[in-house]
Amino acid sequence: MHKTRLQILICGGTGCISSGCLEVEDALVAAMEKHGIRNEATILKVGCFGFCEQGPIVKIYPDNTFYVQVQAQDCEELVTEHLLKGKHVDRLLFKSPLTGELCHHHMDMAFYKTQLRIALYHCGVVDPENIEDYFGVGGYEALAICLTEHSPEKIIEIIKESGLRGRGGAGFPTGLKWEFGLKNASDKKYIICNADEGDPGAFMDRSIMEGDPHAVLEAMAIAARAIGADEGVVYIRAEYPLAVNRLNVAINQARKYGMLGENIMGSGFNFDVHVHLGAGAFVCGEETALINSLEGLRGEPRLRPPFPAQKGFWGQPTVNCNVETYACVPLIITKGPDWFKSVGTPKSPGTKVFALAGKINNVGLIEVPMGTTLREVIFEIGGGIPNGKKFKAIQTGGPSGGCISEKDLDVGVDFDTLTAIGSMMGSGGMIVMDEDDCMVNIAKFYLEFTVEESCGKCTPCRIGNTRMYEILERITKGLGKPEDLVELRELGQTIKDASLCGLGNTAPNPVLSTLNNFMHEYEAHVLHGKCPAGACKDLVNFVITEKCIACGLCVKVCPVSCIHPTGTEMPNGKKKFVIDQEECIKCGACIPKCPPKIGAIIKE
Amino acid sequence: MAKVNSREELKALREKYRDNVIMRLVSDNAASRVEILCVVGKCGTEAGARDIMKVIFDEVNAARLEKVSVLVADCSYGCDNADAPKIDGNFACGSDKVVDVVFPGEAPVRHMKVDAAKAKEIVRGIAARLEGQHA
Ligand SMILES: Cc1cc2nc3c(=O)[nH]c(=O)nc-3n(C[C@H](O)[C@H](O)[C@H](O)COP(=O)(O)O)c2cc1C
Repeated sequence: MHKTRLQILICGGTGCISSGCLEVEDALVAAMEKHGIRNEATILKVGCFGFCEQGPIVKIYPDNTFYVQVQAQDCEELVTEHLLKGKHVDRLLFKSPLTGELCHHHMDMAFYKTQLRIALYHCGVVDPENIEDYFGVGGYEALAICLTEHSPEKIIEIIKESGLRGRGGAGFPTGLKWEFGLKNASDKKYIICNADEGDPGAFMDRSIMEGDPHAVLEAMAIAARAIGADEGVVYIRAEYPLAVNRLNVAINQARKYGMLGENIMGSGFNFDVHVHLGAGAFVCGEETALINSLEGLRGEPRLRPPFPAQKGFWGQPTVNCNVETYACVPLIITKGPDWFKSVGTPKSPGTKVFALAGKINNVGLIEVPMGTTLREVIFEIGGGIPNGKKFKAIQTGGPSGGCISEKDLDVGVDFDTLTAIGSMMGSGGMIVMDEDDCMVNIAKFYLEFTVEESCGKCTPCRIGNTRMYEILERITKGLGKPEDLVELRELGQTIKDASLCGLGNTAPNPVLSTLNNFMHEYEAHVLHGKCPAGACKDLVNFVITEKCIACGLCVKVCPVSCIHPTGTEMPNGKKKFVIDQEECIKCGACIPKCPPKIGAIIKE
Repeated sequence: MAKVNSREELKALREKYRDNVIMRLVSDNAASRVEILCVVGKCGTEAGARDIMKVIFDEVNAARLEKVSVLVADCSYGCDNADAPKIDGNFACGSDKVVDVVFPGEAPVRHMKVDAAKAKEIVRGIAARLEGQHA
């Protein structure tokens, strides 16, 4: 690479691509050429910076300036001001919503201050499509150490010592899993990387593969060396084309340099990886269903035991770990298990990446030490709830996680604490809900997903969850009976106990946790026929009160023309408006149109 | 590209490509960064300040001064400012190229009339001082 005075990094993750980063790149190049300084800067598309809400993000080195929401039309000014004159373009800097101060560097932002990147260490730093960058930051050094200094037993000892637990959801100790893989003797063993990432709200695995694919490949090779495998598969959903592409580029480059293939680094160790595309079924993230899918069978879970480490892919000992789990491994080898353990909590060392979404100001991807409280995540890093609304709940762990209420916000999140408060770590999805969300409706929404994604192999999951869903549907329509609440609990517990795999074991969580934390909302529906949040359409009416001044703004937006001037006559002869309840579809479009000073339209 | 056949060869790759990424790794640490600010106002640029900046950058690069950033700065005087400092009767920026060197936590040291030879001297001076800090 030709060295230049400046390096300009553009976030090239899927999120920033959809907000236009490719156009920004083109516009930057054009503007630099126009001003004759194309040779002063290198432009690189790197992995996710995490602050997706503010994308596309452009970071300029060496002065380390962090520009947000950069559009193609801003590039001319960036070039004439920043590149030509060294002046910051203030309007493209992030402005702290609390203090109003401009943040020049990312560490000035509350969003980044308490974050700590381990799994995302080199994400946003290296060019993911250039293995040379990865070499430059010390890449494949951990593999070299494992090939030249450590025996398989020693590698496993280090991973066990680090306390690393699986980031795919269950939190199983990774070193122990590798040890089973080593101890189950066979002349053929496999390494699998679970990159299915079935939780619709989570995108940390995708971001790691898009931003730092070599870290995953290096870790898979280390795992292979530890258990004695020579073949690896990355199982990734076909909906992740950019990640698939970057993985394939990385695999080819790694082969060319001899980081994969035969006789790696002259050590005599052989290991190669290929990518397998999944069709995107949630259950295929479950490791035995995943193995079925790899073998060309239906994506249905198998009974465990035997565990994959005993009898996995093609009946051979197989170690499967999650993308984020692998991404932690190279640093544990080079920096040592004590370094890893110095972060996080004693039982859950290290960090966890969370995907923040829902009713939160700073939507994005964050990585924090285990033990960080939910309050810090939501109100400091996440910047709180938009539009001055009140926080109601946070759902963690993906579609089958539980909903946590205000009372548990000071819990430091790790694998065990989340389970103790009726939720789970899962994939690390975090969805925030505010006062406008109805918790019964939310529980129904998540259950709908798991019902849809149930593979149907076992009865409790296939039929039980469907029955629960029907009950919730009744309740949200105002047809629920008090007995329904008892039945929901009983069904939920039975499904949890009796299902074959983790999908069924966890699917009732949203319902059970909302029954525990938000019983009053269920009761309001069942006993009083009311939805306190005003979200269940069958239980609310939109009504125009006497405050109406007959301005007619609401009439213009009503898609079904159900607002008529048939109310009280005013002194000026006009008649106040009335919503025809028969025709109203409860879309809510009229409410924001009513001038706030008047506020005549209410839900009741 | 040849396959890597030993840990030593991997190490050589790391050394070789470290230059690609080092700017991104050290820049976060503003406290230890030395900045060379090349003043590129209108008249400085006309007098060739950007070419001098390239000389400086190439020198910094050749000496592998990882903590040194080469940046541009807009003219802080403004030629229409009557109070701006003058050299030989001309405004400082216009008379020739101006370069400020800023060590962390210190006041900038200003160099005037920087030509290629002087530019190299400035970088050598920084290198010597950094070397001294190291020892
Ligand atoms: C329904 C269901 C979906 C799952 N989806 C994923 C997934 O998308 N990615 C993943 O890594 N693990 C997923 N898991 C967990 C895997 O079964 C397995 O525990 C994990 O991949 C092991 O890796 P780890 O030890 O590194 O976490 C899922 C489990 C269940 C029950």
